[in-house]
Amino acid sequence: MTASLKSAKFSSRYKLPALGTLIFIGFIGILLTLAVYPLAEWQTISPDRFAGISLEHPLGTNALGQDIASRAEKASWHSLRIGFLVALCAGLLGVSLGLLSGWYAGRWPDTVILWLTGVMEAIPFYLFVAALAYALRQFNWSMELAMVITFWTTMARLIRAEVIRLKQRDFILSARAIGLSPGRTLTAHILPNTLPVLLVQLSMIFIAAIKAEVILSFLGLGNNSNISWGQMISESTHEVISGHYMNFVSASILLFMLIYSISLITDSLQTRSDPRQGIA
Amino acid sequence: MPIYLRKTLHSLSLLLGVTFISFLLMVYFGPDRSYAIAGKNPDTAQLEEIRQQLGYDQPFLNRYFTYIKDLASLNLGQSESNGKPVSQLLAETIPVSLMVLLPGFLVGNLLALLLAMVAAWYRHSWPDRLLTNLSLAGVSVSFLIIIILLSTWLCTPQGLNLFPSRGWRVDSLASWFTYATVPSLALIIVTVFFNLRFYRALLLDEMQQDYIRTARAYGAGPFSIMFKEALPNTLIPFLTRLLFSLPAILVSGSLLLESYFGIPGVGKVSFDAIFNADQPVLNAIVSLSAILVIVIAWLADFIYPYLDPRINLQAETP
Amino acid sequence: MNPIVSIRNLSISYPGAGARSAVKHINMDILPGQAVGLVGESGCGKTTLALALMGMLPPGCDHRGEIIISGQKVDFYQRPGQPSARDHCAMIFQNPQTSLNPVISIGTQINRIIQRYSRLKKSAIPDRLAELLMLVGLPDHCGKLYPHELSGGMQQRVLLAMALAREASILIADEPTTALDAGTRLQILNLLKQLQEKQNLSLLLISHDLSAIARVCQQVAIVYQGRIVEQAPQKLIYTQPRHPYSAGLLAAIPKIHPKRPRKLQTLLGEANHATEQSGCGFASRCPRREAYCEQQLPPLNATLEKNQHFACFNPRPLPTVRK
Repeated sequence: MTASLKSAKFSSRYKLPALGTLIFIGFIGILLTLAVYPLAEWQTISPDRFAGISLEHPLGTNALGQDIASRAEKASWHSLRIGFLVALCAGLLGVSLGLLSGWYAGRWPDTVILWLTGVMEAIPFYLFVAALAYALRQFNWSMELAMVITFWTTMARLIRAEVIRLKQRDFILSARAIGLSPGRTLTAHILPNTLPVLLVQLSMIFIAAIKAEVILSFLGLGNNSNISWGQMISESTHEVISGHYMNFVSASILLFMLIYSISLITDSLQTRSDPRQGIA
Repeated sequence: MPIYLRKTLHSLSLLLGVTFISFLLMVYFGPDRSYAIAGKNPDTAQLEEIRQQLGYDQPFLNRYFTYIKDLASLNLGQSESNGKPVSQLLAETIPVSLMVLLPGFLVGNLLALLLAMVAAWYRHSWPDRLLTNLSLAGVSVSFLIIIILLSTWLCTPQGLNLFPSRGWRVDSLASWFTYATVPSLALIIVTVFFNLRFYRALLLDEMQQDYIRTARAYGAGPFSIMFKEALPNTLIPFLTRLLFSLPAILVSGSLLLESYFGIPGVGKVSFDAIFNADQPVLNAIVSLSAILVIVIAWLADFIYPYLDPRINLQAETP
Repeated sequence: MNPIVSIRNLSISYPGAGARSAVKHINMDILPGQAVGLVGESGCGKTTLALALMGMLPPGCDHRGEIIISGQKVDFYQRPGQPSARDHCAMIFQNPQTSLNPVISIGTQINRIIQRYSRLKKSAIPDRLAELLMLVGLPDHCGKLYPHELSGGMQQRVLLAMALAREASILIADEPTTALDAGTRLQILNLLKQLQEKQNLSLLLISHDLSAIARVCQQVAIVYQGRIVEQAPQKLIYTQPRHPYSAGLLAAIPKIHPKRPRKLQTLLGEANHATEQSGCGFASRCPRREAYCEQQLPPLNATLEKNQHFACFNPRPLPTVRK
């Protein structure tokens, strides 16, 4: 009886993250396979408009006769790139400012960083991106930059709280007592202990960046030299009315697969680090 | 220093920061309006004169102070694309946005709270698992996809074709239902998915407290335990989430909803302003919504002591 | 007299790895108006028993036996708010600080219970509240206060007022004084005793503190590792404990005696909860252990003295009466 109870516990605890990992591996696997066996060129315009599913066009073609599968592939890479880039940069910024602010809690570096967080969180995101894009007209990465500038704040707040919590713990006090420098204490002793929070927040930034990019490029605020899911969905809004679904379906299913798989993994990470079930 | 004074000062410093950034982005590095005003082939003298009129020749700080003064006196300038005063434009569009967004936002949050109560009550059994897994899948669906699916289903000949797919001619409750139902539904769905798990975690935390055990021991039923015992203890985080997502919904949410459904609200106005580089309009919306966030945070600090008697604003906290 | 509570052969074990029993084969009666004390170390199953009485066992427990309150069988997993056997019981808890809802005023919390359990008119409720506050020795204005504005002792008084508001005939007090400081502890115990007598309540007082039990209870049960090892009237337990564990507990009570300072006795070792023994659970710590103690479980027998039950093969001898 005990054994069956245990296995039931096992399955419910690991089924969902396992499903998430499976979807993610499948997603990356398809992309890698397509890198080895390339599809048609995504920009090529052909007279074959709104073609159905065929060997030549596995997901059909769009209004310009372009191959949807290869466009979806390019868009997937584009989203992954943005997700990783923004998560990395915003994460780095948030972690360093959070460490600093937590270490100097109550003193002026903390006050300045908290103030900056408050200011950034008060500005509406989409308008900020638009304004920044305008101010940095010559710069190709203004959207990514805007995301980095706005997405670091939650990470900084969480890391700050963690540092303040950990600073009171005995092992940190003893590390400081034996004369370890603040920098070393932070990186060698405090940072590793913030890892659960850090990882969860990183994947949240990843998700937020991908979602935001889709909406921005749908609205036409994205980087137009690249194909993205948002653009595919934007094209498709006129097509679904006339019954052409492939553009919409392929972009939205890929988007869902990627975000859902990451959410499933993150969620189990979060539940494990906080058994009371943290904030979604 | 009394704590409410400190909080007020903090809010003022945030205001200063937000206005500084919007000044920097929209005015200082923003579009140069002198060419547009001067018309075709201006000579240097003409340009210089216009630049003087616009105050472009002033030093940086002077321009910033003029900017703040204008903002404080609600002198928001005129829209460049249609020449209307920005304040009038906002006065026309804000009510429309509120009519589109507020009902869906409130209903969505209340529904999320009720479902969270169900989930927290049946913790770890099937209703809880169903709801949490559903909402995890739900937050993974982009708002955009939900809007498109809903409007394709309800507003096109492909689907049920019950509602107009675009537009806004609202003068009565019936016409409100015609034009606002689909956007509201989309907003409700997103709000429920987005908040359900958060509210569940809040309630679950309370359900494990000793005072709930006391209530159970003294014969309180499910309704009483949830609404009279647990809920009052979650009001602060609940209200915080509600209040602080309001500005984001009003600006970012309306941007997508209104541009998709062609509703002339704040979102549509800012969408147009972005594409026409209509700087005074953008500037006003960014500044005002940031001010809204800060004012809400400031107000919240004064509401909290009424929700939790343990919070005392007079007391000095370290 | 018929017992108002009778616990019949009750065993409860918690789910999970090991599946250790918290309560084993407990038999116990509480008469109307009687105060019964339940003594034991922490983790011996005292609280589990209290939760079972209230029908509030955590889900998934394995249980055998039954509890009957006023002729009604207790459903151990009572759904909240349903009328049941536990309506005869009120319970006060170890941590008054966390047992009260922090954002609701004392008066409102008590009023809710009055409304739920008495047939008073709406207009009579404030009077009843004032009466209850007076009974537990709290000033009138306390109704308007919030839990964090009261001291631990006052909070426990509030819980007592809630218990009285319930108009129950049985009061279960689970370590009611453990979280309080020494002076307050005495006050609360006296109040408990006084209320029990005045309202003719049946009381089950759960504590690890024998001196607290001595102050209030007529009947005492001593629990070790989920089993009752000795059960007797208060006087007998204190004057002639038969089970070595009871004797050990008594000897460990610090006494201040100016003329004869004595060394404080301690019980050897610690309770071993991890493994399930076949013999007497106390054998490993017992000074009177015999070889067979570890093989066979001593039953709870009434021996020569009818009202003193103990589970020991080699009990302490009765004190010789000097002539």
